[in-house]
Amino acid sequence: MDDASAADEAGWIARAQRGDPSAFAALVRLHQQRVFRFILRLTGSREEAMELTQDSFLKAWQALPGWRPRARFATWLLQIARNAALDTLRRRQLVEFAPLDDGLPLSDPAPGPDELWAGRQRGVVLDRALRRLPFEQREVLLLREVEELSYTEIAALIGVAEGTVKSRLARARAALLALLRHTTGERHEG
Amino acid sequence: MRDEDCPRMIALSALVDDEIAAEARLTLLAHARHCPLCGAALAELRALRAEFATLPQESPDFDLGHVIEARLRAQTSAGPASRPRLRDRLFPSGLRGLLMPAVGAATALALGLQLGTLLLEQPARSAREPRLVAMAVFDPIAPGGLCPPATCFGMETSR
Repeated sequence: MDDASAADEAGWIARAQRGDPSAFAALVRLHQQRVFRFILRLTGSREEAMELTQDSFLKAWQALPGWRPRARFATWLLQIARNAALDTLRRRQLVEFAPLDDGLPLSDPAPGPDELWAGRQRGVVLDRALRRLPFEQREVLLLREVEELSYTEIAALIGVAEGTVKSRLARARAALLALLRHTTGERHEG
Repeated sequence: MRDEDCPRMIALSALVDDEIAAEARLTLLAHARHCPLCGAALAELRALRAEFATLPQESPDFDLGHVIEARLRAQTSAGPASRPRLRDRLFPSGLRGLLMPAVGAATALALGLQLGTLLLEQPARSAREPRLVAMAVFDPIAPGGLCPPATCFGMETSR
Protein backbone atom coordinates (compact mmCIF):
# COMPACT_ATOMS: atom_id res chain seq x y z
CA MET A 1 0.00 0.00 0.00
CA ASP A 2 1.43 3.38 -0.99
CA ASP A 3 1.44 6.49 1.21
CA ALA A 4 -1.72 7.97 -0.33
CA SER A 5 -3.66 4.75 0.15
CA ALA A 6 -2.36 4.48 3.71
CA ALA A 7 -3.56 8.02 4.41
CA ASP A 8 -6.96 7.22 2.90
CA GLU A 9 -7.17 4.10 5.00
CA ALA A 10 -6.26 5.97 8.19
CA GLY A 11 -8.98 8.54 7.44
CA TRP A 12 -11.60 5.86 6.77
CA ILE A 13 -10.64 4.05 9.98
CA ALA A 14 -11.01 7.23 12.04
CA ARG A 15 -14.42 7.99 10.49
CA ALA A 16 -15.59 4.39 10.85
CA GLN A 17 -14.54 4.42 14.51
CA ARG A 18 -16.90 7.37 14.97
CA GLY A 19 -19.72 5.26 13.49
CA ASP A 20 -19.67 6.24 9.80
CA PRO A 21 -20.94 3.21 7.76
CA SER A 22 -19.84 4.64 4.40
CA ALA A 23 -16.25 5.00 5.63
CA PHE A 24 -16.35 1.42 6.83
CA ALA A 25 -17.74 0.35 3.44
CA ALA A 26 -14.68 1.94 1.83
CA LEU A 27 -12.47 -0.13 4.14
CA VAL A 28 -14.41 -3.25 3.20
CA ARG A 29 -13.87 -2.55 -0.51
CA LEU A 30 -10.16 -2.04 0.11
CA HIS A 31 -9.69 -5.34 1.93
CA GLN A 32 -12.53 -7.64 0.83
CA GLN A 33 -10.54 -9.49 -1.81
CA ARG A 34 -7.64 -10.20 0.50
CA VAL A 35 -9.87 -11.40 3.35
CA PHE A 36 -12.05 -13.46 1.02
CA ARG A 37 -9.10 -15.24 -0.61
CA PHE A 38 -7.47 -15.95 2.73
CA ILE A 39 -10.66 -17.51 4.11
CA LEU A 40 -11.32 -19.40 0.88
CA ARG A 41 -7.86 -20.95 0.97
CA LEU A 42 -8.31 -21.90 4.62
CA THR A 43 -11.80 -23.38 4.29
CA GLY A 44 -11.85 -24.55 0.67
CA SER A 45 -15.49 -23.56 0.27
CA ARG A 46 -16.55 -20.52 -1.74
CA GLU A 47 -19.98 -20.24 -0.09
CA GLU A 48 -18.51 -20.46 3.39
CA ALA A 49 -15.82 -17.99 2.43
CA MET A 50 -18.45 -15.45 1.31
CA GLU A 51 -20.39 -15.86 4.53
CA LEU A 52 -17.33 -15.77 6.75
CA THR A 53 -15.96 -12.71 4.97
CA GLN A 54 -19.17 -10.82 5.72
CA ASP A 55 -19.17 -12.06 9.32
CA SER A 56 -15.54 -11.03 9.73
CA PHE A 57 -16.23 -7.48 8.56
CA LEU A 58 -19.27 -7.19 10.81
CA LYS A 59 -17.19 -8.37 13.76
CA ALA A 60 -14.54 -5.85 12.79
CA TRP A 61 -17.18 -3.09 12.77
CA GLN A 62 -18.28 -4.05 16.27
CA ALA A 63 -14.72 -4.19 17.57
CA LEU A 64 -13.53 -1.11 15.68
CA PRO A 65 -14.15 1.48 18.43
CA GLY A 66 -11.59 -0.35 20.60
CA TRP A 67 -9.04 -0.90 17.82
CA ARG A 68 -5.67 0.80 18.28
CA PRO A 69 -3.04 0.96 15.53
CA ARG A 70 -0.57 -1.37 17.25
CA ALA A 71 -0.69 -3.61 14.18
CA ARG A 72 -1.63 -2.97 10.57
CA PHE A 73 -5.37 -2.81 9.97
CA ALA A 74 -5.11 -5.56 7.33
CA THR A 75 -3.31 -7.84 9.77
CA TRP A 76 -6.04 -7.25 12.34
CA LEU A 77 -8.69 -8.12 9.75
CA LEU A 78 -6.82 -11.30 8.84
CA GLN A 79 -6.73 -12.27 12.50
CA ILE A 80 -10.52 -11.90 12.75
CA ALA A 81 -10.92 -13.85 9.50
CA ARG A 82 -8.55 -16.57 10.65
CA ASN A 83 -10.46 -17.05 13.92
CA ALA A 84 -13.77 -17.20 12.06
CA ALA A 85 -12.39 -19.80 9.63
CA LEU A 86 -10.88 -21.84 12.45
CA ASP A 87 -14.21 -21.90 14.31
CA THR A 88 -15.97 -23.12 11.18
CA LEU A 89 -13.37 -25.79 10.51
CA ARG A 90 -13.56 -26.97 14.11
CA ARG A 91 -17.30 -27.33 13.71
CA ARG A 92 -16.71 -29.30 10.54
CA GLN A 93 -14.03 -31.31 12.37
CA LEU A 94 -11.66 -30.95 9.46
CA VAL A 95 -8.73 -29.53 11.35
CA GLU A 96 -7.01 -32.86 11.84
CA PHE A 97 -4.12 -33.87 9.65
CA ALA A 98 -5.00 -35.54 6.38
CA PRO A 99 -2.56 -38.42 5.68
CA LEU A 100 -0.41 -38.06 2.60
CA ASP A 101 -1.19 -41.48 1.16
CA ASP A 102 -4.94 -41.73 1.50
CA GLY A 103 -5.35 -42.62 -2.15
CA LEU A 104 -7.12 -39.41 -3.17
CA PRO A 105 -5.68 -37.79 -6.29
CA LEU A 106 -4.45 -34.25 -5.90
CA SER A 107 -4.85 -33.45 -9.53
CA ASP A 108 -7.26 -34.23 -12.35
CA PRO A 109 -6.34 -37.51 -14.00
CA ALA A 110 -6.51 -36.02 -17.50
CA PRO A 111 -3.52 -33.66 -17.69
CA GLY A 112 -0.07 -35.19 -17.79
CA PRO A 113 2.89 -34.21 -15.61
CA ASP A 114 4.19 -31.74 -18.17
CA GLU A 115 0.91 -29.86 -18.33
CA LEU A 116 0.46 -29.82 -14.57
CA TRP A 117 3.37 -27.47 -14.11
CA ALA A 118 2.33 -25.20 -16.95
CA GLY A 119 0.43 -21.99 -16.49
CA ARG A 120 -2.75 -22.07 -14.47
CA GLN A 121 -2.56 -25.77 -13.74
CA ARG A 122 0.47 -25.20 -11.54
CA GLY A 123 -1.57 -22.89 -9.36
CA VAL A 124 -4.44 -25.34 -9.21
CA VAL A 125 -2.14 -28.16 -8.16
CA LEU A 126 -0.51 -25.97 -5.53
CA ASP A 127 -3.92 -24.92 -4.27
CA ARG A 128 -5.02 -28.54 -3.90
CA ALA A 129 -1.80 -29.50 -2.18
CA LEU A 130 -2.20 -26.60 0.24
CA ARG A 131 -5.66 -27.81 1.19
CA ARG A 132 -4.18 -31.16 2.14
CA LEU A 133 -1.91 -29.62 4.73
CA PRO A 134 -2.95 -29.42 8.38
CA PHE A 135 -4.61 -26.11 9.23
CA GLU A 136 -1.69 -24.84 11.31
CA GLN A 137 0.78 -25.38 8.47
CA ARG A 138 -1.57 -24.03 5.81
CA GLU A 139 -2.22 -20.80 7.69
CA VAL A 140 1.45 -19.97 8.29
CA LEU A 141 2.29 -20.61 4.66
CA LEU A 142 -0.55 -18.40 3.44
CA LEU A 143 0.30 -15.65 5.89
CA ARG A 144 3.94 -15.71 4.84
CA GLU A 145 3.84 -16.44 1.11
CA VAL A 146 0.59 -14.76 0.08
CA GLU A 147 0.00 -12.08 2.70
CA GLU A 148 3.74 -11.42 3.04
CA LEU A 149 3.62 -10.94 6.79
CA SER A 150 6.80 -10.99 8.84
CA TYR A 151 7.49 -13.70 11.43
CA THR A 152 6.68 -11.16 14.14
CA GLU A 153 3.32 -10.34 12.59
CA ILE A 154 2.44 -14.01 12.06
CA ALA A 155 3.40 -14.85 15.64
CA ALA A 156 1.15 -12.07 16.96
CA LEU A 157 -1.70 -13.02 14.65
CA ILE A 158 -1.86 -16.72 15.52
CA GLY A 159 -0.68 -16.31 19.11
CA VAL A 160 2.57 -18.33 19.15
CA ALA A 161 6.27 -17.53 19.61
CA GLU A 162 8.36 -16.40 16.63
CA GLY A 163 10.50 -19.53 16.96
CA THR A 164 7.36 -21.62 16.53
CA VAL A 165 6.49 -19.73 13.37
CA LYS A 166 9.98 -20.36 12.02
CA SER A 167 9.93 -24.12 12.65
CA ARG A 168 6.28 -24.46 11.61
CA LEU A 169 7.03 -22.77 8.29
CA ALA A 170 9.95 -25.13 7.65
CA ARG A 171 7.73 -28.14 8.40
CA ALA A 172 4.94 -26.75 6.23
CA ARG A 173 7.28 -26.20 3.28
CA ALA A 174 8.77 -29.67 3.61
CA ALA A 175 5.29 -31.22 3.76
CA LEU A 176 4.11 -29.18 0.78
CA LEU A 177 7.14 -30.14 -1.29
CA ALA A 178 6.54 -33.80 -0.42
CA LEU A 179 2.92 -33.48 -1.54
CA LEU A 180 3.91 -31.84 -4.81
CA ARG A 181 6.52 -34.50 -5.51
CA HIS A 182 3.88 -37.12 -4.76
CA THR A 183 1.53 -35.46 -7.24
CA THR A 184 3.87 -34.92 -10.13
CA GLY A 185 6.14 -37.87 -9.55
CA GLU A 186 9.12 -35.67 -10.14
CA ARG A 187 11.51 -33.56 -8.21
CA HIS A 188 10.37 -29.98 -7.92
CA GLU A 189 13.18 -27.63 -8.59
CA GLY A 190 13.14 -24.20 -10.10
CA MET B 1 14.78 -37.09 12.55
CA ARG B 2 12.44 -36.05 9.75
CA ASP B 3 13.67 -33.73 6.99
CA GLU B 4 11.40 -30.89 8.10
CA ASP B 5 12.78 -31.03 11.67
CA CYS B 6 16.40 -30.79 10.50
CA PRO B 7 17.96 -27.59 11.87
CA ARG B 8 19.43 -26.95 8.42
CA MET B 9 15.95 -27.08 6.85
CA ILE B 10 14.63 -24.59 9.41
CA ALA B 11 17.57 -22.28 8.72
CA LEU B 12 17.15 -22.58 4.94
CA SER B 13 13.45 -21.82 5.24
CA ALA B 14 14.24 -18.71 7.30
CA LEU B 15 16.89 -17.76 4.74
CA VAL B 16 14.29 -17.82 1.95
CA ASP B 17 12.10 -15.57 4.10
CA ASP B 18 14.99 -13.21 4.79
CA GLU B 19 14.35 -13.73 8.50
CA ILE B 20 17.90 -14.66 9.45
CA ALA B 21 20.78 -12.56 10.82
CA ALA B 22 23.16 -11.16 8.22
CA GLU B 23 26.18 -13.14 9.42
CA ALA B 24 24.29 -16.43 9.61
CA ARG B 25 22.90 -15.74 6.16
CA LEU B 26 26.37 -15.42 4.63
CA THR B 27 27.57 -18.57 6.37
CA LEU B 28 24.57 -20.57 5.22
CA LEU B 29 24.79 -19.35 1.63
CA ALA B 30 28.48 -20.27 1.52
CA HIS B 31 27.63 -23.73 2.86
CA ALA B 32 24.81 -24.23 0.35
CA ARG B 33 27.18 -23.47 -2.54
CA HIS B 34 29.33 -26.45 -1.62
CA CYS B 35 26.80 -28.86 -0.10
CA PRO B 36 24.69 -30.61 -2.78
CA LEU B 37 21.92 -31.50 -0.31
CA CYS B 38 21.53 -27.99 1.10
CA GLY B 39 21.99 -26.43 -2.34
CA ALA B 40 19.18 -28.57 -3.78
CA ALA B 41 16.93 -27.90 -0.77
CA LEU B 42 17.49 -24.14 -1.08
CA ALA B 43 16.66 -24.25 -4.81
CA GLU B 44 13.44 -26.16 -4.04
CA LEU B 45 12.39 -23.67 -1.38
CA ARG B 46 13.00 -20.74 -3.71
CA ALA B 47 11.04 -22.41 -6.51
CA LEU B 48 8.19 -23.13 -4.14
CA ARG B 49 8.07 -19.48 -3.15
CA ALA B 50 7.72 -18.51 -6.82
CA GLU B 51 4.90 -21.03 -7.27
CA PHE B 52 2.68 -19.12 -4.86
CA ALA B 53 2.31 -16.39 -7.48
CA THR B 54 0.44 -18.91 -9.66
CA LEU B 55 -2.33 -19.57 -7.11
CA PRO B 56 -5.83 -18.94 -8.54
CA GLN B 57 -6.96 -15.37 -7.83
CA GLU B 58 -10.55 -15.83 -6.73
CA SER B 59 -12.74 -12.83 -5.95
CA PRO B 60 -16.11 -12.31 -4.28
CA ASP B 61 -18.94 -12.03 -6.82
CA PHE B 62 -20.30 -8.71 -5.64
CA ASP B 63 -19.44 -5.45 -3.89
CA LEU B 64 -19.28 -6.51 -0.27
CA GLY B 65 -18.84 -2.90 0.84
CA HIS B 66 -22.32 -2.08 -0.44
CA VAL B 67 -23.86 -5.09 1.34
CA ILE B 68 -22.13 -4.33 4.65
CA GLU B 69 -23.05 -0.65 4.48
CA ALA B 70 -26.73 -1.52 3.83
CA ARG B 71 -26.75 -3.89 6.80
CA LEU B 72 -25.15 -1.33 9.09
CA ARG B 73 -27.62 1.39 8.02
CA ALA B 74 -30.54 -1.03 8.54
CA GLN B 75 -29.30 -1.74 12.07
CA THR B 76 -29.03 1.98 12.75
CA SER B 77 -32.51 2.80 11.42
CA ALA B 78 -34.03 -0.07 13.44
CA GLY B 79 -33.36 2.05 16.54
CA PRO B 80 -30.31 2.83 18.53
CA ALA B 81 -29.61 0.24 21.17
CA SER B 82 -28.56 2.95 23.56
CA ARG B 83 -32.06 4.47 23.92
CA PRO B 84 -33.20 3.83 27.53
CA ARG B 85 -36.18 1.52 27.91
CA LEU B 86 -39.14 2.26 30.20
CA ARG B 87 -38.00 -0.32 32.74
CA ASP B 88 -34.59 1.33 32.90
CA ARG B 89 -36.12 4.75 33.40
CA LEU B 90 -38.50 3.57 36.17
CA PHE B 91 -35.95 1.45 37.98
CA PRO B 92 -32.36 2.56 37.71
CA SER B 93 -29.88 -0.30 37.47
CA GLY B 94 -28.68 0.25 41.04
CA LEU B 95 -32.12 -0.38 42.50
CA ARG B 96 -33.06 -3.18 40.09
CA GLY B 97 -30.81 -5.68 41.80
CA LEU B 98 -32.47 -5.15 45.18
CA LEU B 99 -36.02 -4.68 43.95
CA MET B 100 -36.64 -8.11 42.46
CA PRO B 101 -35.60 -10.18 45.54
CA ALA B 102 -37.62 -7.87 47.80
CA VAL B 103 -40.77 -8.27 45.69
CA GLY B 104 -40.30 -12.05 45.63
CA ALA B 105 -39.88 -12.27 49.40
CA ALA B 106 -42.94 -10.09 50.05
CA THR B 107 -45.10 -12.22 47.73
CA ALA B 108 -43.98 -15.45 49.39
CA LEU B 109 -44.74 -14.04 52.86
CA ALA B 110 -48.21 -12.83 51.85
CA LEU B 111 -49.13 -16.20 50.32
CA GLY B 112 -47.92 -18.04 53.43
CA LEU B 113 -50.02 -15.86 55.73
CA GLN B 114 -53.12 -16.30 53.60
CA LEU B 115 -52.82 -20.10 53.51
CA GLY B 116 -52.25 -20.22 57.26
CA THR B 117 -55.38 -18.15 57.88
CA LEU B 118 -57.46 -20.49 55.72
CA LEU B 119 -56.32 -23.53 57.74
CA LEU B 120 -57.27 -21.90 61.02
CA GLU B 121 -60.73 -20.84 59.79
CA GLN B 122 -61.77 -24.23 58.30
CA PRO B 123 -63.25 -25.97 61.47
CA ALA B 124 -65.59 -23.04 62.13
CA ARG B 125 -66.94 -23.07 58.59
CA SER B 126 -67.78 -26.84 58.43
CA ALA B 127 -71.06 -27.52 60.36
CA ARG B 128 -71.08 -31.31 59.99
CA GLU B 129 -68.50 -33.80 61.17
CA PRO B 130 -66.91 -35.68 58.31
CA ARG B 131 -68.42 -39.11 57.82
CA LEU B 132 -65.85 -41.86 57.73
CA VAL B 133 -66.24 -44.05 54.72
CA ALA B 134 -64.71 -47.01 56.56
CA MET B 135 -67.78 -47.22 58.85
CA ALA B 136 -69.83 -48.33 55.85
CA VAL B 137 -68.58 -51.89 56.52
CA PHE B 138 -71.22 -52.17 59.27
CA ASP B 139 -74.13 -50.97 57.10
CA PRO B 140 -76.84 -53.47 56.03
CA ILE B 141 -75.61 -53.30 52.49
CA ALA B 142 -71.89 -53.70 52.23
CA PRO B 143 -70.03 -51.18 50.15
CA GLY B 144 -70.54 -52.21 46.53
CA GLY B 145 -73.60 -54.35 47.33
CA LEU B 146 -76.40 -54.34 44.71
CA CYS B 147 -79.54 -55.53 46.54
CA PRO B 148 -81.33 -54.66 49.76
CA PRO B 149 -81.28 -57.37 52.50
CA ALA B 150 -84.88 -58.61 51.89
CA THR B 151 -84.36 -59.65 48.30
CA CYS B 152 -80.81 -60.78 48.59
CA PHE B 153 -80.40 -64.40 47.56
CA GLY B 154 -77.93 -65.26 50.23
CA MET B 155 -80.03 -63.75 53.01
CA GLU B 156 -83.17 -65.69 51.93
CA THR B 157 -81.47 -69.06 51.95
CA SER B 158 -79.98 -68.49 55.34
CA ARG B 159 -83.42 -67.91 56.85
